[in-house]
Amino acid sequence: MTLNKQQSHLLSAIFSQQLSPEIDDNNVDIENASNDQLNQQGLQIYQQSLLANATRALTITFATSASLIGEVLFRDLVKEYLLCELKSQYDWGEWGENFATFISNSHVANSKLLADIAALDFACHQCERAQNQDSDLTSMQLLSSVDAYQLSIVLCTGATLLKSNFPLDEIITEIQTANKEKSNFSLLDITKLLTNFNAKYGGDTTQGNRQLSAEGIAKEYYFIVWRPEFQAQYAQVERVEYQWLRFWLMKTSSKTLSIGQALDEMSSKNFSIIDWLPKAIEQQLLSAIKLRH
Amino acid sequence: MLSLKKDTPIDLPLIGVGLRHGHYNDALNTPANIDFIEIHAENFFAAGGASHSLLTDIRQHYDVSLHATSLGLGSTSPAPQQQLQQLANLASSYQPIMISDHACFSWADINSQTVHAGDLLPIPFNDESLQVMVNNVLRAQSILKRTILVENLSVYLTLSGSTYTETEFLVKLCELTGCKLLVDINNIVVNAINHSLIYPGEETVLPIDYAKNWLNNIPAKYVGELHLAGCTRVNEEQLMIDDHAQPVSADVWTLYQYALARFGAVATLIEWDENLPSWQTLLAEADKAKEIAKTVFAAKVEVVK
Repeated sequence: MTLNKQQSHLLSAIFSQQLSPEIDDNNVDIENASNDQLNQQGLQIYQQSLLANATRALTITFATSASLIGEVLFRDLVKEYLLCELKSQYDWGEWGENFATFISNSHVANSKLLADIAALDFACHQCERAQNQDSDLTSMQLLSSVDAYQLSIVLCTGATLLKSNFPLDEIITEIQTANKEKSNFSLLDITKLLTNFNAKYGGDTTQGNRQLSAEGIAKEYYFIVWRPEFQAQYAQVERVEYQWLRFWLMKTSSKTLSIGQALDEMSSKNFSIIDWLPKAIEQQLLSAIKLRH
Repeated sequence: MLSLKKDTPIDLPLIGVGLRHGHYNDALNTPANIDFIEIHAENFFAAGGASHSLLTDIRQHYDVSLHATSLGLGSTSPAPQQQLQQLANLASSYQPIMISDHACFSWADINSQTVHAGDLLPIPFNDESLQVMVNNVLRAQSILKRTILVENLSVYLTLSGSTYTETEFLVKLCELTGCKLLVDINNIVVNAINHSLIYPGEETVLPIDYAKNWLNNIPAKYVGELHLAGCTRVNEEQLMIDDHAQPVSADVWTLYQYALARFGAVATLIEWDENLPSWQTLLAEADKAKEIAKTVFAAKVEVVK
């Protein structure tokens, strides 16, 4: 067997998270094959190491959702995730991009709500890893001296938008508060709270009390994730602000919109840049005003 | 900023400790008479954020050694250019005194997808694997613009096809690439202890003897650093796991003395990754290494006289 095949087969056996049948099936050419039990013991060590490393990495990346799911169940989820999402990144910090979707499709109770919390976790994690960027507040002077159609807005590094059927910030705060107030707050208490939120906000369509918009569809909540210094923050924003912020975070646009154009787009909506600007500066969400090229 | 006076005489080895998350504040706020700190490169691969601010502060206090765990230098699927470039960028920013990784593979294809093991996996020692490692080490050194250190591995199973011993393989690697070795004494001891379990038909060798023989087969000119650590034994029927969760073992201290006598004043690092002790306990291990080095080199001076 070539070295290339040896390496592929051993890695397959490790990621399979199963013992001898997988070794045989994959024809892993491990020396001393007569001593199967020890080879299995060695393989098991690598499998356990992979699972431990993966669990540790995702517990860091998905800190809030991991704490709500609980250590044992979270580890089981990671194990299942390893089977369907091979690790193509060399940096554990980058692994887990699809973990929220995976949770959403999993058997875990309140999976839709937990998936959205996981998506928020991932956005915060990525935000905190984004390239550092100095803000340039002196550039605000351009607003008074240059035509708005020549200017654009730069938001702080790592800023991201999310939307959900759940008021994630309120839910997380409520659970954290309950945790502080009750001395023996358990995972069961968390699950009960999550189940209530899930029923209330639309995860469980069998319940009649879910929150609906005036049009009769499940209400959407909008969030901005940003990083004033090194620690990511998130906040719920109105739909109109979400639409405004999208202009400055669109990655597919070949040409950055000008402030003037964005305001034209928002003209029929109840948006005031006069109100938004000081708040964005105070929150350190706004990084700079720049001239369009 | 703290002023850290380092009192290591020129004829003694540099002694450092591995920096782990639980010690970040202590490392910055508590004076420590150590010569360098080793960081795991991958912990600082993020483009930005608090980790870089921390590393900038750490770098102002200590020399830094950059220890990578993800290149997989023995992989037939070579590390992506971006990965090597990230390591090069870190090196450029923080000017480490050493850069190292392992004699292992981490990258391989599964169903046509290139996958990273997230671990240090064993390689057989033969001409094919040697050529792969030579190519990967030369490529890394070219991008990093310096020679690197390659660490021997602790292994829990072996892949068939070895035609060299581990030490023969590592020596050939040094000859062909100009790299040096990071000799992890604990890894040798772990392999020695596990040897009788992995090869039950072979004659049992005392770990100390196995390790001394291993060290004797490495020319001193190829050794650039030593790693010292401890690990946890479950029971005699179970493979020993290199978990770096204990103080440096008595065997490793004995072998450290032996290695210094053989290799000279080689930079030395105390690794402690799991079950993290207090910062002071970790520093005490570094102090112990210094005391052993003083003893070894004082004895050497006596011999010369």
